[in-house]
Amino acid sequence: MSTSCMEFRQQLEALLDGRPDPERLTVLGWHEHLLSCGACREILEQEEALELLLASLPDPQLPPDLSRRLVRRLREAESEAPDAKGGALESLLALDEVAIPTGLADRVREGVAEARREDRLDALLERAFRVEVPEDLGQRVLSGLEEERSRDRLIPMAPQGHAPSMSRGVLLKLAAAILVGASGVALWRGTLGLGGESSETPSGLLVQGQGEGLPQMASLDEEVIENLSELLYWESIESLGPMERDLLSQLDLTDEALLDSALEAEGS
Amino acid sequence: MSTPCTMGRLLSAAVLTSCFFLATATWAGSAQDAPRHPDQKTTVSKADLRKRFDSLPEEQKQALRQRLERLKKLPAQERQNLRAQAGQLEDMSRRVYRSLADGDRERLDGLPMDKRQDLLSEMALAEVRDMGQRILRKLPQAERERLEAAEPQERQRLLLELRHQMDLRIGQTIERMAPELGFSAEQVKKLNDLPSNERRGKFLHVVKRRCTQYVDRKGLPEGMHAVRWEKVQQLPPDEFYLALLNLRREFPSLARALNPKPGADAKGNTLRTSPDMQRLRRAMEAHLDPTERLQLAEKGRVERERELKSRGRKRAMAALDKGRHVTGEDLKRLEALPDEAFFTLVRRFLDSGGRQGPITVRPPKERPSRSETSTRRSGDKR
Repeated sequence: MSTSCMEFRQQLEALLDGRPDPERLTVLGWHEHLLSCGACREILEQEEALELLLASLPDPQLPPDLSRRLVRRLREAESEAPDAKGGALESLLALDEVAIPTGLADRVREGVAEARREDRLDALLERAFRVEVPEDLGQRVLSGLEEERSRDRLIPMAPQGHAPSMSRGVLLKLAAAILVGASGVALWRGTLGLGGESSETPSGLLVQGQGEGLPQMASLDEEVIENLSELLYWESIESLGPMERDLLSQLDLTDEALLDSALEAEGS
Repeated sequence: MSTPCTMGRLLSAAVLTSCFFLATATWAGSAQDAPRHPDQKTTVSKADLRKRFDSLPEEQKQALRQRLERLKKLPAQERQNLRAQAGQLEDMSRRVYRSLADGDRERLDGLPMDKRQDLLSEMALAEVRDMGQRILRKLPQAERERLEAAEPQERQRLLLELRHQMDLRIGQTIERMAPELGFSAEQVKKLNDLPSNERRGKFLHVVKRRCTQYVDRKGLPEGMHAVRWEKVQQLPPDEFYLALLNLRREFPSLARALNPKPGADAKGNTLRTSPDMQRLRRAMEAHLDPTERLQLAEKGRVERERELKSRGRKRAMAALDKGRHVTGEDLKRLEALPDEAFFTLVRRFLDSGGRQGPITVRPPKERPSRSETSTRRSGDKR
């Protein structure tokens, strides 16, 4: 990597800090380094695409008191089985289909405890929740998790405590996501005891959720296909300025031909 | 680049989306009985649409799903406007495709479907943009300024009024052209009695007839093969008109077929058709040239636009330099201008037919700042 590549990438990295904002990157699109470096151009395009994707993600929408209820349930779960390895949390995470690695519950608990200490969990959950969730999101996340899980299976092969730091981070975050989400669903459905007895297991929830999401997504896709032309053109229309859009609505080639004729008549 | 920053952002997105997934799982439970879309019939066009949809990357599919949700929530009037605009773009795509030269069409047809659609959509968008600009430039100055200064609602009203005036003008224009075209009084009356929309369509028939008659009288421009002209002649009037607009770049004398007695040129402007002004116009319209765009088919959309702009700019600079329309320090200052300012300045020069003399570019420090411009009145003296 050349010095100018390094400088460009440092600038890029500095711009990427903070909330997603695709427009911030357009400034770098004019960087003269890009005229001679395809690799950096490609990186910038990838980052622009990622920023767009992140910016397009809606904020999650969950009940406002979920964080309080969730933390309370976690405390109860811990107090119910303080010595048993895993306890309620372990059973929550003992999902055959998901095949979560051994010891994950302990690590999740550590992660959650740390987050709680710093009030991050509450902040995250409370900030989160005014949103419509895209209907195929479940499907996409599950396939993403599946990929991560297959990597996680390798972790126990490594000596305990010597897993690479990035893998630990991935594990912790994914596990926290599963815990937070599954607990949220379980709370709603009463499977943690708040809503009476239920024979549903968390894995059952996951599988059922996935299965029900598919027809809904398929139905949405059918609608998208029906309106595909319009939706694709809409993308183009949105790139037009307000004046250009109005001109497009009202005038066409006939008007241009008429104006030509009018100019011609004036000239002669 | 797998920077820690990027990785962190990806992971954050993964955590966030994990929360969404489980909420979705719950929602799916309540929506499980929602009926599938009733329309199960499969037509060729629907199969094409499905194929197109399936070929899209997942993130674009997701963007489309979100756009559909937004579309459903739009007020009826806005949705109708959007449909009208989409319809116009679709018409323009058809015109662009049908008016392509054989070589360009073969090249486009040989591309993968998603690439083909992207390119066609870019070409249609470029044409629509340019058509809007051309129409604005052809309006009387006062009318153009009113439109440019109007608030959105007022602008829509002005444009509706303009369209109405244009409709009224069709009758007069056909009457004026009738003797040249050999229309009888009865034929003219029949045309003028048609409903507005039909009359608009017929007007382009009249324009096509006039153009072909002109070429029949004057002969084809040098370098143009009869077979090519034959194919253009077979196009329906709207496609013919667009094809002719584009052919003008390759064969500038064809402009006469569209406008045999050009008003502006009649005022003694000889520069308008001089070779370097033609070169300049062509350079400024690089983004409208399908061949040029297709040469860049392998690139991504953003890079292609950037390259087309850069090529156009370099050629415009060369044409200005060669014609000595900009000299010395001005040449350097022009070269240093940002794209938008550069193209605006050159476009203005081109529209004046070169009458405004050599382009002068003020050094940056002489240009008034935004605040100075907004506070100074036209009568102020410094």
